[in-house]
Amino acid sequence: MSEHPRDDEDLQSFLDGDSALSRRYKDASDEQPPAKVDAAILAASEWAVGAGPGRGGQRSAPERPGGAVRGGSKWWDKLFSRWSVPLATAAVVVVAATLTLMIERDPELERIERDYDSVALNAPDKRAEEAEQTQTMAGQSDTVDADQPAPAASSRPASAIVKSEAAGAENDSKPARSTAPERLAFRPVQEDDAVAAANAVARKQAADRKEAAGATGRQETPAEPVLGEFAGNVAPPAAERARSSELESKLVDNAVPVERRREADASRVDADVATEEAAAPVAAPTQAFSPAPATAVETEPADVIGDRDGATAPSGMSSARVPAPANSDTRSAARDPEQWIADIEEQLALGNRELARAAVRNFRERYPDYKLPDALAELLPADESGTGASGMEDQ
Amino acid sequence: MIAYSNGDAAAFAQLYERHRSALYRFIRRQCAAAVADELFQDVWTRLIVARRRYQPSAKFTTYLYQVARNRLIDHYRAGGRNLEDAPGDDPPEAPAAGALQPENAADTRQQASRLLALIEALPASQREAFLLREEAGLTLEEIGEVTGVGRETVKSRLRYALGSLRNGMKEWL
Repeated sequence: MSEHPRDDEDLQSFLDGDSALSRRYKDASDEQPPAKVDAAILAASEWAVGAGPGRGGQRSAPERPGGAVRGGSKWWDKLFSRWSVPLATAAVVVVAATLTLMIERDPELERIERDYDSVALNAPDKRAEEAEQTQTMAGQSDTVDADQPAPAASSRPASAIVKSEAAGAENDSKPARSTAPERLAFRPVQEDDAVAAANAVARKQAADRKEAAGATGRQETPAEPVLGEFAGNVAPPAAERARSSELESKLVDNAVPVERRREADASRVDADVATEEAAAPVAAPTQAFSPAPATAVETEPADVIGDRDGATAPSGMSSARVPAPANSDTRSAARDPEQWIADIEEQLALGNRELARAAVRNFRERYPDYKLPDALAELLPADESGTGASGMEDQ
Repeated sequence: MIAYSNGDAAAFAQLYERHRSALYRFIRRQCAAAVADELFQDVWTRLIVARRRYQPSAKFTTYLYQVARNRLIDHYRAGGRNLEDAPGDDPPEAPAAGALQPENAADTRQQASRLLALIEALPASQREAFLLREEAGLTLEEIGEVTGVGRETVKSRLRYALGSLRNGMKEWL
């Protein structure tokens, strides 16, 4: 019986937490769960909450290392949610840029190929034909001027420039001067086309020269000397001058419309710039000034073109604007002096003083009695300005 | 535990930190170290799985140690033994009362080893009651609730357990 009261005291002391046995046990017992077990349990708890009901507590999930405990689908979901937008944006940009480049490139390539084909296949023949017309026009100018005394113009005659440019294009393709109407007519033409056209001109001239040589008894001259003759401004034979006069009359019959002439005059603003054009101006007059019928072109010899020395048409003046000789009624009707004066004034207003001066000289030679406006009369020397009667007394 | 059942993982971490050491020692005093780790993890895993079925009808500590006790019973049953009869997988030999002389056990470490050996040598019911009181801090009623016995039974078990330990440690007590 004596043990029960002691046991009760010990039990009460133990339950109160102040027994010696309890203190000894607390000192002896200090084990802790392993760290890997702690990590696995905590990972399992987080995975269970993240995975939703019914999936938590699976043995396999906590045993996965580190952050991979969360499950494969969630890992992929996070990866895609993070990179899906940037990747999609980059893909869209790349595709859009590629399509844009393709869309922009294709029409350009087609256009270039089309232009190239047209130039390579069609341009030479066309340019040759235009070159023929150019020569015809130049011949017209020469023949018209041949009936008139050559003015002491300082500027180089336009037709001579045309021929020299053609020769230059054949020989060394160096840039040469051009006149405004020529440049106007030849704006769409490429440099390469001009060279081809110049070659065609040279060939045509050679062929025509053969014919002319046969007709006039001259010895046949190859094309190269012809071109050199162009550059040297060789004087035309008398037979060729007569032929040019005939051709000129045909051309003047197909007088250029006033509107077209105005357009051509406007283009003369670029006359100084036109010197940068190479051989392109060779066929220029064919579009801006193409009144010559096909028959006239066919009958035009190359030598007519070759004789440019003494051509009276200034570089800025078109050959169609050159007044007709007095012995031709058709030519008299083809050129209106007032219109001519207006054109010259326009050139003067545009600042082409030399051009205007040359045109005034030409006008004065053609209409010596026509009273020039004061502005134009100042362009001529005092002895040439004259004070002719007003109106067209001799017309 | 209610917060964790609602999805608050931090609440579970806090709960785990509060009970992890005591629960581990409770399990460790009743089985081998290698088994204790597995059983300890299983107990917490069961809590995680059963989080939505948790009803705060009793103290969480009582619930936790009841789960742990059930897991120990399952472990012993799986080995063909009974928790009431089995003192442990590898219980240390209880030193004879006369074998330990005061001069041979001078330091505290030796006293601790002696005490732990005496605890592991206790009958499972007495050891269980002692551990539930020492580790979990449960009252007689709570211990009876966990073990499924009455208060007086718990009191009797504790009384016997304390007597055995006192006898084994009488040289130092």
